[in-house]
Amino acid sequence: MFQTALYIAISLSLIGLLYQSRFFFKENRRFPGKKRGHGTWQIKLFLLNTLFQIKLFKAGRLRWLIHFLVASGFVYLLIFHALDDVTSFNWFQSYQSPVDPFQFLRNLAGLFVLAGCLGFLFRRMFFFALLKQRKIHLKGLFTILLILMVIVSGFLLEAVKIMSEPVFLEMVEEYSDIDETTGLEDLKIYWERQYHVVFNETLLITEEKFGAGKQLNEKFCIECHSPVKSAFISRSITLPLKKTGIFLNRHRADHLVYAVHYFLSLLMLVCLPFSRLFHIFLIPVASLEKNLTKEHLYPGPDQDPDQIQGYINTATVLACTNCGFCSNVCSVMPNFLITKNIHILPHAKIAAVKQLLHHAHLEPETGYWLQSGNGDCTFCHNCADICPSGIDLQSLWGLLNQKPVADGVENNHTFIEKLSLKQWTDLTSGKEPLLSAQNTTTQLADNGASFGNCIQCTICTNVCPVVEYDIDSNDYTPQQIMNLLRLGKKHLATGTRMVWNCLTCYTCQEYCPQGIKIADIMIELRNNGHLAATAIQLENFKKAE
Amino acid sequence: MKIKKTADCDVLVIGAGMAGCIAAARASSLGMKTIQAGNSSSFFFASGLFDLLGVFPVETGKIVDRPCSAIAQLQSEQRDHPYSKTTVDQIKEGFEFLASFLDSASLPYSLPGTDNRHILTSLGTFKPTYMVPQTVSKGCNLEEKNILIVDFKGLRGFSAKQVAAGLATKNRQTQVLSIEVPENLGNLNPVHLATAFEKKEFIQHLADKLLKFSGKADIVGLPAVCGIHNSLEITESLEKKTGMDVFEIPGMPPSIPGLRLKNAFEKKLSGLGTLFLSNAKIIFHAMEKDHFILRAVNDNFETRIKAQGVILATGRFPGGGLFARRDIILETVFDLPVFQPETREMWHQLNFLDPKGHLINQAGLETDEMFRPLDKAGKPAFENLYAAGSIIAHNDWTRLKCGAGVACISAYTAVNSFYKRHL
Repeated sequence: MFQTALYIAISLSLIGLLYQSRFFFKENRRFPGKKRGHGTWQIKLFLLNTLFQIKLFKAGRLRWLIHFLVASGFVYLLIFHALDDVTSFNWFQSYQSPVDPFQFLRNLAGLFVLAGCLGFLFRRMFFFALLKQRKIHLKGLFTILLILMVIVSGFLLEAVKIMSEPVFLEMVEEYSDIDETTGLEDLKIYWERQYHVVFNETLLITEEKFGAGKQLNEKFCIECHSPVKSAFISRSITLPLKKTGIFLNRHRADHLVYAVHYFLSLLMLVCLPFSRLFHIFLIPVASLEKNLTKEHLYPGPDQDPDQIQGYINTATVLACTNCGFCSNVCSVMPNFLITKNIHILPHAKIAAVKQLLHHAHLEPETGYWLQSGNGDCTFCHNCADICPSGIDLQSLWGLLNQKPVADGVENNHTFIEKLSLKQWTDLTSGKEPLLSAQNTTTQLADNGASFGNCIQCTICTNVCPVVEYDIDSNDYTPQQIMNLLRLGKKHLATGTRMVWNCLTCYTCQEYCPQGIKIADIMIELRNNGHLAATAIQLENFKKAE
Repeated sequence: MKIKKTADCDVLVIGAGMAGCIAAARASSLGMKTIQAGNSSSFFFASGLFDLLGVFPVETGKIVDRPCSAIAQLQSEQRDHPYSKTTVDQIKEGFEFLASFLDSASLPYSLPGTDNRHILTSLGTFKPTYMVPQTVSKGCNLEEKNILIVDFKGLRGFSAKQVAAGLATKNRQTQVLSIEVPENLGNLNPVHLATAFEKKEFIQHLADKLLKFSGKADIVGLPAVCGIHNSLEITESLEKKTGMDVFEIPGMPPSIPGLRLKNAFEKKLSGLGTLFLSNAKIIFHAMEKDHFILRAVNDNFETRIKAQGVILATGRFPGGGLFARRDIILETVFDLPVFQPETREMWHQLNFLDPKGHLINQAGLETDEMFRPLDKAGKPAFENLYAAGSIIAHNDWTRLKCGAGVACISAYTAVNSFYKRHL
């Protein structure tokens, strides 16, 4: 039965791996981005990140430690313990599972994994609670609990086996010719004292018998059985269990726990392609190729900035483990704190992209938030730099920017750009509260004192890099915006190209001889425009439904 | 939450206009640790020409040709005027310092001997002035020359025809040329157009147009937008390409020669180690022994400054140095007594263009010979507080055309006096 189950599990796992890897090959409908130029193969990063999780190390030492404990412990257990029939027995002549150093190392590795898993859980309980905007993903939780159960059942199995009388008797029968007449009782006495076996009889301990048992032990057992104290975890589970030992032995608890441990391990094998565990394969792939590096984002004087377009194997998006480092370093986190659009943050954007990849569909409203959240991205490269999975995030955001993620969804910038000022003011009439939202703005544009000193000297217009770059597509210049406000045309101003093209470089404000906070007013106008445009767009989605 | 800092200095200059920048220039040239606070954007309103004394006496509107002798007359007639607290030699020394400072900041000026120059303006008039940028300096003594005036289509505030019409009233026939700015090379705000002048393609395009007039004209007047950073090189390269003399005609704000001054001062002062607190408002806190304790506040930071001496160059009403309430005019930093008309009705004459000027334009601080502001008792209000520039009373500089001269001599003398007395 165990053999059959093993083969079934291996087959399922292989099929699952093949099924999941379809993402690497299928032509993607959403991001057909033709490969432009050559991405860089990052062999060094690939090796370091696969073997030592170097990016995680850079992102957070504690997280790396926790992860490394689990990874190293689990790899050891997998190779030297789970597969010992093909590995340890062949590699080490003296190998037997209860022999040191293997017995000790198995416990140590188990402890590593146990500590790591508890670390993961602890972080999920507390760290996630702190960052309320992040949801606990059950997928990750399931994986951790599964690993945890495999390890705990392993320790339990060893503990139960240590005190098992039936196992003791089977071993005696198999590996020695001892019987009741030739000192079985002596050996029992020795093993009860030294190896914590629980016997269903009261043994009369004398020094003589104990000595005889010790001699028998040296003759038959000691080669395969190191002192039980080196199994330091299992032994400490055995000790409190001893009182129930007779009951457990009678019902062959060792068989039961073995089955549990075995099938949990097989379950893990089957889950490998479908759970968070799949990242073991995805992260090396994601780390290998990078198409948009920081240098690309700051092109030299001779480079054409328009040529810089990322390309990403979208399958690597699945390598995301939802660790949240990206959102912690996101430059536009402050935007999120103001607008509460979670899709500004990379971890939420990537979750939406995953949904898009799996279902090829996003709700228009989600699509809208994603589009406008991604529009806030400043391409600072922080998220791509820190991503422990090595995902080429910056390329992904670049691609998202180029294509609308859902039909009929636009960010506010392009939405307003398509409208004439007349259309915009018609749409916004009746939206006055949004155009001077009391709580979210600095209330400069509503306060005559903030722009009343403008003498229309045009210095702001003269120093404005936006005006210099493209005078034609700019309808109004900064000093004209100030004039619109003086004429009470705030609604009109929120839809002007000047307000939406403003780089907020603050040159105008720095130069204004009248000390008017021009850039601050521009930002406020744009924020007001955002609020109105968002309301209009959401209304449109509802109408479409 | 504002970032809090502290700073110690020998001299704090409050104000970044003409007087403030000259004071900071002098102080840092003398090796004093200098902090300057203010907004230097008022240079956009400066023509870039330095007047000494253009009109005197003001009642007659007489244009001054020889400022030195006019100043001597002014000193004898108006004991209160800032010029009367100094000598002609000192004034010249101040200008020499200023010229050499600007020269070292790569903005060469042309300093005449004793006479005023009459510089062609964008209105076609001639303005009496003293020290001018070298790019402008050929815009005088234009008799006997065949002049070509060039403008750019769409550049507001400068029309070649207007200049020519002005010249025609003086019986001077002038040729005019209107140039279209090629697309992609610039647009028609003065600053952006000036940036376009720094491109080789633009200069070539301009030279090609000008060459059609070679033989017909021997001097070309352009609006004063010939580059921001290397205007002299640009006009010289145009001269080389066309074989004609080239000069700039100063005009309406935003003024590029003013921007060049702003840049030159900022760059050179920063090179000399002057700390510039841009757009910071200065609040006087207290005296600590001989030192001033002040706070410099802007949107982002608050700096506590400890200064041995303070130069008050905050200007009058537009600069914020003086503030006019309905009933009284106040000085805004130290609350010093302000010389002013006794009642509001006396601020202005009935006739706006009255040749005598308005009394309000005489308002400001009374000072001693070292330009230290006086308190109510007529004694220096603070041992080491000096005033410079237009905040000084009895100085109707717009009518006398003596603004730059007063700024220069008051800043120069104030810093020198402080330096001699205390360091």
